Amino acid sequence: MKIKGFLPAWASLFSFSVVALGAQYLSLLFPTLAVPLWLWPFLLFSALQSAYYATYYLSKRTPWLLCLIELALWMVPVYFLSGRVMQVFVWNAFGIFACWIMARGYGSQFVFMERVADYLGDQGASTVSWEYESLSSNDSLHVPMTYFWWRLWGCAFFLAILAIVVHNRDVQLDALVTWRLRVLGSMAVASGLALQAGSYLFRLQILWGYAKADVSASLRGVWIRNLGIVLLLGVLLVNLAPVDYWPLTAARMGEIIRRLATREFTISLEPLDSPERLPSAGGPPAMGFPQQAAGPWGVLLALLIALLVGGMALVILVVLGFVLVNLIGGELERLKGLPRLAVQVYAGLRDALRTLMGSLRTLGADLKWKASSKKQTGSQEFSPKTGFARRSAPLPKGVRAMFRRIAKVSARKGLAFHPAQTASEFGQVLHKHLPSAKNSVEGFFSGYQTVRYSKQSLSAAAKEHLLQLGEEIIKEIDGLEKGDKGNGTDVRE
Amino acid sequence: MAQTSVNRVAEFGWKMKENIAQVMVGKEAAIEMLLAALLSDGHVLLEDVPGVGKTMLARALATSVGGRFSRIQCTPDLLPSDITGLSVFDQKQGDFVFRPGPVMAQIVLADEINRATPRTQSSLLEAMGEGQVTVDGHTYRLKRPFMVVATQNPVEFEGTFPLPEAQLDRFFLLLKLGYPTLDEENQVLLRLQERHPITDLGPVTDVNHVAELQHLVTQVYVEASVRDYVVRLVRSTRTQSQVQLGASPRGSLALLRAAQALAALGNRDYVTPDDVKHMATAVLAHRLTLKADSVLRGVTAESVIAELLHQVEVGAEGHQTRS
Repeated sequence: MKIKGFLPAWASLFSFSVVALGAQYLSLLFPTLAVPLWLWPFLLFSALQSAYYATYYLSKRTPWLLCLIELALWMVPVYFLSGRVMQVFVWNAFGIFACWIMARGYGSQFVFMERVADYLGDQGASTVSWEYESLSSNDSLHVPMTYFWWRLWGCAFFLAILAIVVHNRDVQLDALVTWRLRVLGSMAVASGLALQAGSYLFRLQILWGYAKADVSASLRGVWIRNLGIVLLLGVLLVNLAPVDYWPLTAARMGEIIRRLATREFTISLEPLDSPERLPSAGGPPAMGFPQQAAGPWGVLLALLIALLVGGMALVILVVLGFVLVNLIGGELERLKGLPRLAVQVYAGLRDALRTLMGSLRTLGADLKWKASSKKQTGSQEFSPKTGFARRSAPLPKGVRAMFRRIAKVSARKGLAFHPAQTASEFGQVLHKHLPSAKNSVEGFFSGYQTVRYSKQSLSAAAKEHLLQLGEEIIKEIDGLEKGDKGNGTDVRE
Repeated sequence: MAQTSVNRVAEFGWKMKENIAQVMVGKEAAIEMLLAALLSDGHVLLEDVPGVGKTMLARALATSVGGRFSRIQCTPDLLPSDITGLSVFDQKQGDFVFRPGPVMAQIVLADEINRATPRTQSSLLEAMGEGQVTVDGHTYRLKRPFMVVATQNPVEFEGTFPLPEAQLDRFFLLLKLGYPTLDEENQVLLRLQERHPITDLGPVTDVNHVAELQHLVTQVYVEASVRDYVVRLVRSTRTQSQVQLGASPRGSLALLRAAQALAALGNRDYVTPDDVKHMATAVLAHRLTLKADSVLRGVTAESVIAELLHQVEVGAEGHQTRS
């Protein structure tokens, strides 16, 4: 799938929705700046024309005059449709120009991204990525990914400011306007995110094409699925989140600090939604800070707010980290700044959860094992001094059976033989806890290794000697107090 | 395998260690692993910061073994033909004559291998993997034993080309020497005060003897549970959550052979799980490709192997192993 054909369409859709939404908000604030419905198709088609023209035909040698003629062709019908009223025409023409120039910028960047690949020269395929990175670190030849990123944020910031201002001015919105705002807002978010993701894929496709990489056929499906999820989340977020949900505004923060300084502190977090509640200079304090005596509840509330803010930041970072890890898992090491922090926070949280789950599983397994071993030794009598008295069962005959018996006895004293331990590692643990049986431990475990892993067979005398050493070890282990178990040491060490 | 054969391997190991210890202070574990690689017919990559004795260790090994030794100083302008050799026109004979390159030796030291371009690095692949070199359509068999000891500096990136995975996989071991301790560094200064002891170093064995010992090492007995442990350990690297690409079956083979060599050097004719654990990091770590997010969090291949060694069941007495 070649993404290049879709990118100008997304760019123009994004340009259109941002300009149209901005114009809609401005018309709510200043009714004289109303946007007529007939202008909307002009905005959209001028953006489409500009983006596709810039992507496929525009070059550095294209004369400026041609661009001016191109723009004039859009302006002439707008002039007549505006009723030849200069004030109306200027506003409408400004909208067309904003859409056209924004889409033109995106189109030029697509061309620039392709040209960066040409600068690579005849480098071998394996060095393409490094060369690309070195080009990206050069200011004059930067890879324009940041261009898309900053434009997306810039537009989002611009629209968010407009939305909050409109909200705080208590502008009455009828159903049609609300519907328009929602549609345009969703379109802006969806096309902006699609453009960001598409430009990233476009960059990769340039690299893959140059390196003649064999890209998995399933990539298209995965990419479309992930993009769909992100777009859906973005659109839901924009439509469901209230405009002025942030509990701390600059005015409210200033007031909290002032109150803390003058030791008269009680906070109310009622929404700051009407201009008459703003604090007036010299007048009585507004903003929902009743004049009450200072108390510890104020500080507690401030702490809660700080926790709330921290928690929200953490949640945002985790969600961003999740999205980044799942979308661009292969190139995470190139991330910097906030995206890198988000990935680190997400990965840290994920690891912490995994560790917790692993510990719970281990605990469960240990409890299970203890229950089963208790069942096995249930018939044995327990003495506080010696622990479980050994049953008068027949003694094990082989060295391997003796090893099993040592493992069982030592487990009762807390020196459990871990499945990932080798016999000699287990021997070292016993050696540490039974210094008086040093020779017996060394002799037995060395002999056990030979019996267990070599083809040699032991003589009867040697076998008898090993069994005797084993008995000595068991006696020493029996002599261990319960408190000796492990001495805080990990048995796997 | 007879005990007398194991004794010969152990004696060889002892002599070699004594000889190399004349120029290398400390680093007994690294020397032992290097010898294990030599006896396993494998190639070694020494990776560490400059000045810790990588090249000296390789030179000392080559001198101790005897045989034909060559050194390739890798630079970005080194060409594949500078390694494999090339055909030149001999005017007397009126024909092209093949001039063998430095790879046609028995111990080849490829110094700073990551400074050579990928194209040149890959010219070593055939020699390391197949024990042969093909130039101008002719295939030349390399004399056995053949060992490449390559060094690389992991801290410099300017003008270097990281080794591709395919080539890393062909290295039997990756060893890191690390800085010497205080006493060791004192010893180094004392020994090198007048002249470098490498100039006085002589061979303690010959290449035919090494080839014979290489065959003996393959006869070291491996009990079924130990072989099973090797397989499970290597397979666990493929399913570990932090690893993108685990060790290949070549890794299993290398780990088993390394354990056999270590057992023989320890004067044993059988392999224990301790031998496997001892060699696991050096044999497997460089064969793993970690996930990008794991790298970001500072996870290393060595830490992954260490974690797996604590998780994978050895299959000793009293425990059922999970397949």
